[in-house]
Amino acid sequence: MSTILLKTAIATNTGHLPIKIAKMLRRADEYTNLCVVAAYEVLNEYNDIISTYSAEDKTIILSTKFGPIETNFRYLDTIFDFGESQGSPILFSHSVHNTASGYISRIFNFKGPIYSISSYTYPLIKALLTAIALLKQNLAKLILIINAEIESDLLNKGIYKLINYQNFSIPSYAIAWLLTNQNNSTDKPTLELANINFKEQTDNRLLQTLFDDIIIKYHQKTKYSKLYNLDIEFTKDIERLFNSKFNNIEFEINSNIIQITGYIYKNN
Amino acid sequence: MDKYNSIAIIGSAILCAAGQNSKEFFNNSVKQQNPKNCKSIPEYLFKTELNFPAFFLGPQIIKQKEVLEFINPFLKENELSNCPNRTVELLLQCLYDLLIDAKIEPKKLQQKTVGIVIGTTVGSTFNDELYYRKYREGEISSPYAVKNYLSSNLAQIVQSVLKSKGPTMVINNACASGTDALGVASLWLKSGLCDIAIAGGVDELSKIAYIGFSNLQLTSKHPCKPFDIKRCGLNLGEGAGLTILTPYKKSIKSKGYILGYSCIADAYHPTAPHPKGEGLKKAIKYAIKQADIEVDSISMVNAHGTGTIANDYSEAFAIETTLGHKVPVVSTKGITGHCLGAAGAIEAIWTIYALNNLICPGTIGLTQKDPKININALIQGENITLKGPIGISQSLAFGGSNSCIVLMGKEQ
Repeated sequence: MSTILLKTAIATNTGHLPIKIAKMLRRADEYTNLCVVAAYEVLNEYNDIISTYSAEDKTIILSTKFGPIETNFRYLDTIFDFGESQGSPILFSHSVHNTASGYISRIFNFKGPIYSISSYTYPLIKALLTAIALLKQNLAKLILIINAEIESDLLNKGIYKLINYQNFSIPSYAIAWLLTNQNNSTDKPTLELANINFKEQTDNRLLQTLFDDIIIKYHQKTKYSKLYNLDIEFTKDIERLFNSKFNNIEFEINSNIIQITGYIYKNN
Repeated sequence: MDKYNSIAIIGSAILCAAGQNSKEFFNNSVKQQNPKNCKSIPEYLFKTELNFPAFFLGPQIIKQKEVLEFINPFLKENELSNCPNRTVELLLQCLYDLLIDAKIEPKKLQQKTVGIVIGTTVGSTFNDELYYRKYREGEISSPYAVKNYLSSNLAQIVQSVLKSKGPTMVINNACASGTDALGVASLWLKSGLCDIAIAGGVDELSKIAYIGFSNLQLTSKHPCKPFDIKRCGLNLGEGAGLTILTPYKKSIKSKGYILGYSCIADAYHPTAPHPKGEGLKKAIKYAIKQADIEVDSISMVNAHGTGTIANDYSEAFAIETTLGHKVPVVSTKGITGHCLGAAGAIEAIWTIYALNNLICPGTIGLTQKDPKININALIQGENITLKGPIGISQSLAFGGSNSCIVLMGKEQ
């Protein structure tokens, strides 16, 4: 049974959402907002298909390097400014890594397994591996993968100090991938995920592995393929999927993000 | 029951306030004494204006020379003078204990594809208060805290220490993280993503989580009383629970088995569980279905049992609806506190101990059951003999996650 990529989307700002969804996000932070916008982008187009699945067959895997790190700082601000007993319970609950996946499950009625995972390297790949395993084991029929980060000045400056790398920044973004099995596929354009070959070895260089992952993929694109024991093959033209809906700037960011998360693609 | 499709637990280790290892923890549970280790926060952990007791370990987690020798190459190669934080200390002490328990040399693991799945909440959060205070004042002198943060991905640390290869993942499903780590590792093994897996959960008692739970008005000023009429909230705890898992083989000596697992979302509320336990009911049902067993085979339930009103009612309703009101139910939070991302793993290992001994100790802190709860929650002092070797361990979490794992003791 093959894995089909139905659609991808990217959110780089909180954008416009239907009022009903926007109301549900009144208290949500920017991280969650971005995740929901990206999720809405991919799910909205496939409403007819999605409605044929039971809520329990629909799964969410949220992957990230750093999670809602800025929300954690906003929570600390409330403790510093108003005292320990006056810390904001809303900010605390939103600083937890799986808050965004909880929002998505409520808004889009996904009641299957929801996982939030973090890894400094290849977070989307790890989500993808787990998604494929869930689909193969028939433990899910439709999987929404989200990969999201939020720009953090503290982190950018700290990493700059650590490695003396100028202009370092990780932008705020969320991307969404909608996956299913071939059996459940649609007549709309899709990509078949033919093969993933991923080997991971931290090799006693925790920081170096992380910095390789960030720097090379962001700033030295041509070399990235040599660093990763990773190969993902799609059976059809991937450009169509990523290019069609985005303007040039967005596509550039999207292609960077594909690199950040460790993607190499081949056109068969 | 399809034992040949199960996952064998070939090693386990626990570190928590109730015991330095699995046996000590279980034996302390059997003693059924009032918790002596639920105390005010000592300064060696952190200074706080709040006064909610919690369960915690001593100031120094790693004491033995052998353990220091075990982790020193990792620290040296990553140019770290110490473990980046207390969560990492808990992880590495527990990892050492796990390898001893399973009688496995790291070199042996290097020949295999080892999946590593660790659940945590605090362990993935940038919680350096002092550094953030300085940042707010415009000072970034030495980025030590950023370095520590970026060096503290728990799954990658395990891989780095063992020098193994294979997929790694940290699960941040809040309080269900530990249970989900075992479930996802089982999924990876069944899918052939790895030959063997190290899975569990780890969390230190962090100041931010401590304050946060009190801001949410979930913590108690007294030792917690799960399912009790006089319940008054939860106590936080800290700890680690790790397992080594492998697909079932008749030739492998196992401590127990994972027969089934399920994770289902409530899609109801950011922090509160569904009042009728809708998600948990389905998680229990699907985990039992995956285990391919009858409901009657379940001899005990190790409940999430935090001692909050919302959890108690939701969980009890789900258990009553799916398993009936006779199956013995216990919560260990009265002796460990709520260890957040570690809780599910610690409780699953404890459940295996109970199933292997065919004894289920009562719930420490529960003396007068809430009459609105119609389940067989064992009260303190009520150690019972189990009717069989199959049980359930379950976790509920912020974000609406409900996770259930069906476990079986080793073959007698």
